[in-house]
Amino acid sequence: MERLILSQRHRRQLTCFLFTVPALVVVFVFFLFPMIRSLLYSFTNWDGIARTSHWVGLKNYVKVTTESSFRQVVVNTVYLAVIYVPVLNVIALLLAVAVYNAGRAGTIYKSLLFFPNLLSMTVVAMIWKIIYIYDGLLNQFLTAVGLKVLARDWLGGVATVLPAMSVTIIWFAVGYYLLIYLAGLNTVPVEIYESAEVEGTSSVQKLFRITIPLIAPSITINTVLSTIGIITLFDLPFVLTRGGPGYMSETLALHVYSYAFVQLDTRGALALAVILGAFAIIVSSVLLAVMRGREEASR
Amino acid sequence: MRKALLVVLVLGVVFGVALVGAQQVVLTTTIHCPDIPQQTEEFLNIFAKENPGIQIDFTSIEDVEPFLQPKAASGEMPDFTSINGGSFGADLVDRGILADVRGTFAEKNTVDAVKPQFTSPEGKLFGIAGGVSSSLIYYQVKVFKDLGLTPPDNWDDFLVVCEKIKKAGKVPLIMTPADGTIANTFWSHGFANNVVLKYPDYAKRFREGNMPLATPEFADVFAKAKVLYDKGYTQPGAVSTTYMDGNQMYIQGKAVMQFAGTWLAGQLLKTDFETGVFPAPWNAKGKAKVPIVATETGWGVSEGPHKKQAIMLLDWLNGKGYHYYQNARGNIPHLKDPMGPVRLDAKIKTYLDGVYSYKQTAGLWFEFIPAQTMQLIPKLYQEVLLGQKTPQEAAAAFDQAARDAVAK
Repeated sequence: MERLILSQRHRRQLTCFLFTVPALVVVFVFFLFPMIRSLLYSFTNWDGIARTSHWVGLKNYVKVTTESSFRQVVVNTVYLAVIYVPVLNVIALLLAVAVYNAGRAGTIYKSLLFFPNLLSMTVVAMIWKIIYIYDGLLNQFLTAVGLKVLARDWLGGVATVLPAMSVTIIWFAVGYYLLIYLAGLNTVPVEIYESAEVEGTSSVQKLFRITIPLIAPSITINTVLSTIGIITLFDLPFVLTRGGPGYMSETLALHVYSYAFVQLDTRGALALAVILGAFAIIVSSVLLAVMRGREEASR
Repeated sequence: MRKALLVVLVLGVVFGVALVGAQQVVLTTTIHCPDIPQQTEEFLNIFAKENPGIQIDFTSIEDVEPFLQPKAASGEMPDFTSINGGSFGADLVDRGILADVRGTFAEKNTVDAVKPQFTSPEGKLFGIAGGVSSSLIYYQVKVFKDLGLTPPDNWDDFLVVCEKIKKAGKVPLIMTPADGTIANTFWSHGFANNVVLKYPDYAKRFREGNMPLATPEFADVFAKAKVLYDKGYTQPGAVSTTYMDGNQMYIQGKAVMQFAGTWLAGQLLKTDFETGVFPAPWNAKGKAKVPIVATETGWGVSEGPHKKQAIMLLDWLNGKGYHYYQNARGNIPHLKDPMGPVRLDAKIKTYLDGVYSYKQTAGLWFEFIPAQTMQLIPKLYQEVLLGQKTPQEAAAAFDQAARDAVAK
């Protein structure tokens, strides 16, 4: 009898396993296998065409990391992450709180704020290019309001290109992160706010003492997602600036593309892609661990 | 009886279709034709009609090398493909991926001047150029007349012309360093006039990794752009201006001169104002100009089961079918006998006749520099314009990259 029960359990497990096989095959063939092959190729002299390759150790990694452009590209990626992640999350959180308390009008605000997310990043880049070019809308506006002195080549200036790009990404992404915060806000019991109001708590106090601690899981998710998003950012700088001027807006992901498809340097591209992947995994894992730790501590 | 007839009919149709299918070769054809995709499809259909045994599976591609590299790696090269002159195609033919098209009708009908760019170090011809190209300066004739200007003959005179245009409150010249096209103009002409005269064997030197580039002459290739930018002879926001933006600016009359390729003649000579052309005066005073005579993206054939049919298409495109392609683009023929009516703007023809009379000419950048250095050109120009690098530092960086590429 016991054997029969075990057998049934095993059969059920087998059935469950068989159901997952198609998904596992897809993940393995289209995700894991190419990833492993890329990792292995990055230690070889494979040129992207030849049928054979030889082990060269860390040579490709040394080459890409010692090039003068590498440091600038890493600085840009870190800069964008440092500026974008906190600013985006603060704006998205504040907007979420405002929209949450806006009653019926909240739906309209939600739709408006989420709208940019419906567009492809290429379209977004084209729109903002029209805004930023020298004869573009931003400089026309500045001239119209008597601030012509501020008009400049926003995408061609060393000091302005990354902030300009950050504004574009925030405009594009804020609606998506706002929705996650709204979902978090919906889980906070209304009674807590009601008792806080009875005790005369101010709005700011409510935000910092009730809202933020109680939606900590949403903050964690948004922080990790936005960090991964910015580290792997490719399409916006590709369309908006091609990484220029010089390398001032080139991200790691765009640098991988440049190695692979402009310089046709497959070895460098593979090494850089592995570095990019490792960087994204390490940063997001550390962030996740730290933020989960804080969540636990605040409970 | 009816049933029997029906069965015979159906069998006949099935057998006939199978027979036709068995005889037809599907020729995978990838052509770089972002400006004329519709016309390309039409003339390929004409070829297919003339050759009933061949069916064309046509794909229009944006970039040649990035498209072909993974295809070559996976052994799925198209039977017939666009290919640029330079190291990439040479590598493919020497690996046995592209076919050597020496001895074909297309090769015999092509002028010799455009063959070296499509010849590998092993001497194999990996493609046939799609045309001859050059880059030159387009200018607003009326503005020149009003200001009493004539096309300048050398760099110093060019600066004088720019100054006069600027004083008249107009933008003298459009510069487009935000994408690779600045390499077709500022870089190629700077290199031609400053370096090629000293090293006429520049292409061989690049291949062998002994082209001296950390030199004052090569630094001047970048310095000339810096001079124009610093003196305010280029449009505001020049650093972030792309090729497409620049062309639009000229068409809208926002600048008096535009430095661009002959392949844009169709657009830039049809402006609302009269446009003239003159050779880029990148030469020093008292020195002869070294103009650009280069190749346009051409066509190659893959080694494979359909090589014979692909060569038929190559011969057709460089023979009796050529005029369909040429008429669509209005580009400069590379054929000894175009075998049909050629549509070429008179101004470009005059320009070319002049260019052909020069003792020394040079190619466009992509025909001789290593692929690994291509992306450097616009980036170095931007860095020089913004003062992040001196022209000497830019020259040294390019020199190092070119040597590294060959060493690898």
